[in-house]
Amino acid sequence: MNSLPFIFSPLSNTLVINQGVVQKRPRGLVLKHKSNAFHLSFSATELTKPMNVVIFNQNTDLLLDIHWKAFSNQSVNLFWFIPDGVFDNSLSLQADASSKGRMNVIINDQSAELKTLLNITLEEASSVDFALTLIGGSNSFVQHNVYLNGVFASYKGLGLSVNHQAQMLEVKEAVHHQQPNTTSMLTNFLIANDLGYIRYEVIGKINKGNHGSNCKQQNRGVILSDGGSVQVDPLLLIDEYDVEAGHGAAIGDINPDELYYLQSRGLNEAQAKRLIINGYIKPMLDRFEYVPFAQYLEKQIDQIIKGDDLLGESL
Amino acid sequence: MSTLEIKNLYVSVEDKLILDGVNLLIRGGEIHAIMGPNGTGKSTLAQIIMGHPKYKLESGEILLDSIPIQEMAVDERSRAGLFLAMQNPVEVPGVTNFDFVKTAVQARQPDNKKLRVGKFILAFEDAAKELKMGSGLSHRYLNEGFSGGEKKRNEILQMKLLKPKFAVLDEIDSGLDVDALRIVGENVMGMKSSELGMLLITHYQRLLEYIVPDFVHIMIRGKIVKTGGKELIQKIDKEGYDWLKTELGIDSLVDQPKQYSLGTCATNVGK
Repeated sequence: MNSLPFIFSPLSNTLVINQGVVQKRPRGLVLKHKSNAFHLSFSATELTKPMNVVIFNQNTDLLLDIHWKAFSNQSVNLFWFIPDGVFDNSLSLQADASSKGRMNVIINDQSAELKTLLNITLEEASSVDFALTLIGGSNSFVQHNVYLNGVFASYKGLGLSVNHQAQMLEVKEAVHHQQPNTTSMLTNFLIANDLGYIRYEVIGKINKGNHGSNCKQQNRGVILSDGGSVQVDPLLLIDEYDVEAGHGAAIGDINPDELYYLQSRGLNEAQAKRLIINGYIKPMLDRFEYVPFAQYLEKQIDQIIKGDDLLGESL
Repeated sequence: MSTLEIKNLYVSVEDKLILDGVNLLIRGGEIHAIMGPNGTGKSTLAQIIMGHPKYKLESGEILLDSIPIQEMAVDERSRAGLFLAMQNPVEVPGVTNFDFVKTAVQARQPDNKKLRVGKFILAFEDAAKELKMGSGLSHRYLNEGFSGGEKKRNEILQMKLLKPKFAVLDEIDSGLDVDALRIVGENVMGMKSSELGMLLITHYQRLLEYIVPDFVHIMIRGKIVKTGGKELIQKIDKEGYDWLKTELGIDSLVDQPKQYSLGTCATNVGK
């Protein structure tokens, strides 16, 4: 990708980093950067519109560090386009005490090999609503750590991973409840097409003494082809009695009963599959108030779930 | 006038013969009811008409307007004008009711004709109102978290919007309370016209108080053994099905489980 996708061009509240160089900087954003490391924070305690960050034409490893100050309320959309190459990236989000916010991260990965370290730290009474979409990638590994470092910190995570051909994605997601009365809720949707392989290891960890904590996770995977593969290893490591914890994983082909029901109303197989898969994608698309973003994301995902003619041309 | 004809139909599921030579002719405008004890093949008939892949057609024909449809895919049958209101509608998380029905209606449009969404929204809202389904229905996920009654009303809502030529209503009365039964009954009767033929599958007389059939059939052991009018419903309601044993000269109304030999204990056969 050589030029900025058109959907971002008219937006004033957008930071653009092209080939590691800041091209467009919106008001209200405090940006420090040195070499390939970028540190973002916000001058206003509350943004009227979400701040958009677009990274493209990356030519080196990148470190991005985002900081939400105490008592602030922030909303950030990060679009990270990874070109062909081998990269080792890092993204950190620090939510200070009593801050709250929402962040959507879309990683569109065209690289040969990508490693991403994603660290989210929540201090006392902060709350983060975080969504991560991973699209494509020949060979990607994501280490995603969430640290609930303050009492009453609350984290809600939504994940969507979509791949095809012979792409491989491995994600290790771990939530560390390091203080009492902390909450985490993780939901992951995983879609593999063609020979795509997705593996998630999802760990919820409550250390001793962190009573009143609540740690839940739900994982759903759908395989659209004979050669596709999704593996989920949900783990709960609980060292305290007075807590709530739960996990679940459901993986399989598209439910034939759902398919039959939809077809019995006149939808052909491709349309029926498409609608069912949309059910997986919709929670992510619904997070974007700015409709062109949702449409753009949907289009990116479409290209993958179409597969090698597995779902038919009408998709 | 449209016709749906079932000719000498033999159907099996997992190598067990369920329908044992069913014949039935439904014309547009007619309402037929099929009654019978549990496990006699009523729902199998409904599913084979719609083309459920689990059911195997051994022989016979299903003709829609004299055209055989047994080779047609499920969705083709639907677009040709068949509708099955299911006994247990599945839940499809993430797919909204509105998107689903809109896609289904769009699928019926000729190739180059786009659905007029504004008009469709009004039709959807009207249908939901008539079925007393509440204003949030369009945004709810398909059947997810619906009560039994809501699921059945949602089937009728789809039927209203898809406007089939023939509808098979498979135990649409199960799980309905008195009010919901009345609503469903009134809505189904409101669709009665010469353009729509219906086949009701039910166990109970109460549904047939609202939806009055022109023909009543009794199915026993995979066959329609008796056809009559409304008087049959009252007889079944009063006497059950036992009287048919004498009339048909059979011991049981349902197929007895087949008994298999597990072999014999080893014996000394001598040498």
